[in-house]
Amino acid sequence: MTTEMIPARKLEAEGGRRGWATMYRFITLLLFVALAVVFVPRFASQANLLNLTRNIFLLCLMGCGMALSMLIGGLDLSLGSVGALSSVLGATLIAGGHISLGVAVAIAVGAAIGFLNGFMISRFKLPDFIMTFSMMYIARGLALTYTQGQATYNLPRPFLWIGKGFVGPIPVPVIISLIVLLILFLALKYTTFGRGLYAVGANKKAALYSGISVPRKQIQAYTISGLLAAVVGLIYVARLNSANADLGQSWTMDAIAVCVIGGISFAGGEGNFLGLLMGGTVIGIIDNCINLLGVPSRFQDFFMGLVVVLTVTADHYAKKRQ
Amino acid sequence: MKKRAMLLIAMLVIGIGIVSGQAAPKPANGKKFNIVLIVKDLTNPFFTDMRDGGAAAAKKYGVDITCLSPEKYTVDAQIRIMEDMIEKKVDAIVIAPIDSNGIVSGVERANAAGIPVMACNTAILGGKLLGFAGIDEISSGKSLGEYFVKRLNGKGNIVILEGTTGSSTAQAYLNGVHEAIDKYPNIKVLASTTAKYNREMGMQVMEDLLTRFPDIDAALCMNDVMALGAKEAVQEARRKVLIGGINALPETLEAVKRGEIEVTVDASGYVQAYIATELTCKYLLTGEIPPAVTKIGIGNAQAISAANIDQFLKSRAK
Repeated sequence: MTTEMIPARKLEAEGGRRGWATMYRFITLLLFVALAVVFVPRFASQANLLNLTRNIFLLCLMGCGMALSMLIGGLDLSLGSVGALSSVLGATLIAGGHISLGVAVAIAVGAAIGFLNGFMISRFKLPDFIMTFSMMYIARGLALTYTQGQATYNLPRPFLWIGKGFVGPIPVPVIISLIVLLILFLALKYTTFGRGLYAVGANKKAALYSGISVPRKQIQAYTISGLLAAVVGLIYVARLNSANADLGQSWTMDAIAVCVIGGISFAGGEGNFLGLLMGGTVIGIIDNCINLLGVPSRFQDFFMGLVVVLTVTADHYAKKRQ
Repeated sequence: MKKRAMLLIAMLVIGIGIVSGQAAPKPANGKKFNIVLIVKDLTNPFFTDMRDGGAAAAKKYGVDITCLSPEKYTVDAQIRIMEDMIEKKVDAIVIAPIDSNGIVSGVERANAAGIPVMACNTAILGGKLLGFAGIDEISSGKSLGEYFVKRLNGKGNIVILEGTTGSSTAQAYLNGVHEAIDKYPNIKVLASTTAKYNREMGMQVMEDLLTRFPDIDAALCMNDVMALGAKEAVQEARRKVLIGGINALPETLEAVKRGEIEVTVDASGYVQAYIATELTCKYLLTGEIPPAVTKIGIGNAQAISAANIDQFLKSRAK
């Protein structure tokens, strides 16, 4: 693109392109699934599809918080560390039998750290990258100091349901993730809150002139992102039956990959939450197939990076042609 | 805390087993020697084990010992402790360095002051050393491999969960495992893949391996954390796979007791520090120069399984 579009025209053009971009991503997705079914032995087995679905929806949940920060033109690098800190704090109470209190504390801590991120970014005009990058270390450091490197384990059975349980045939983490995705999808599409996020991401000045409080949107986005990080943390703690300060080392990068493949723009103001489902599915399938195909350890990171680059390149190319 | 204390007592029993039969030299002409043991991090149970092992050895030889650890996990902080100890004119320093190269300047300062330095647990790559005593990762890996060779009667399908690809410890553990199992052609390695020393990845990789192979007899994990993750995957899939780890974390020992994890390998910090301190004491008392490298053998990278955990817990209960 040689000329910079003004926001109004950008949004207009986006409206026309959105249908094609979504369809294109859907086709990519089908292609991925088809390739996996044909070429990867045991991919379509019932046990594998169950594991895969659970992992895909957990990836989507990680992507939700990241997508909110990306929509306003920011980036939340502290996601994994915040998930670790909030859940190790909550786990102490949970292990002591206070399940709801522990869950509430974890979520409150996550939201509070998110709020702090948003506050510092909006009030002191810190670059999003710097603030959340620092918070990544601060939260991890606090988690390590708090746990002294020891895990909290043997958590009460009712709590483990969050990560290991089923409602009918559907794993509980999938249900939690679906609810979050649905709420965010509707909120972004039909509420002033959601439209405001898009407007801030597309052009901060224009948003300001049209009466939107930019700092408020930033604080909202990061607070929800922190809160969701805590939710992901709790689900993983329940799945692993153990809380440890080294939880979530890979979440931030996974979440970014999910968002990028899902069509959430790094520049802000672009993308929708259905895209996350596609991003999560693609990353989930790659992760799954790396192990099912027995890709050698030394080759795995390369393989993952390559597929992400190819997918995103194809996506951009298709959009441009349109 | 209680569990840790019990574990220490067990270590003590092992330690005594190793050194019994050797007559302790008497302290020479009434002079009381004073040595210092510097470890990496006293918030980690591995190093509190080391502290207790060093203390036990020093006591046996009638030598005074102080155990110190930096508040921050940096080699600079360890060097500052060394400088303070040189100032205090201790008779010898036993140290588990945080960094093999970074610690060298501290060693050189001790050399200049004529204070002998013994390395323990992690090698030191420079300066003049009295010697090095430690259990290497190869022994731990080998001990795990040998346990499963015996457990499976030399025949079975196994998968290996490796540490972080490219790290020196991951390769050493893996080499140790292969040293043990490669002689048995009927032990078939179905897959050997990384789970990055990480619990979440241990679970996820194991889920996928369980899908891929309908028949897995054992999963050899290159640390306990991956083993604990793999355990969750195996239980969820309702499969029967023997799981082995390395480190003997309290959490794993409980899982071994419950029969959820088959075995874990203990690279006893207690024994490592005991032997390093013992060699140092002997040098001070008799002038006996220890070998440059004392490899604390495979017998001490002990596999703890259902077969000996009761004995283990009984000795802890005492």
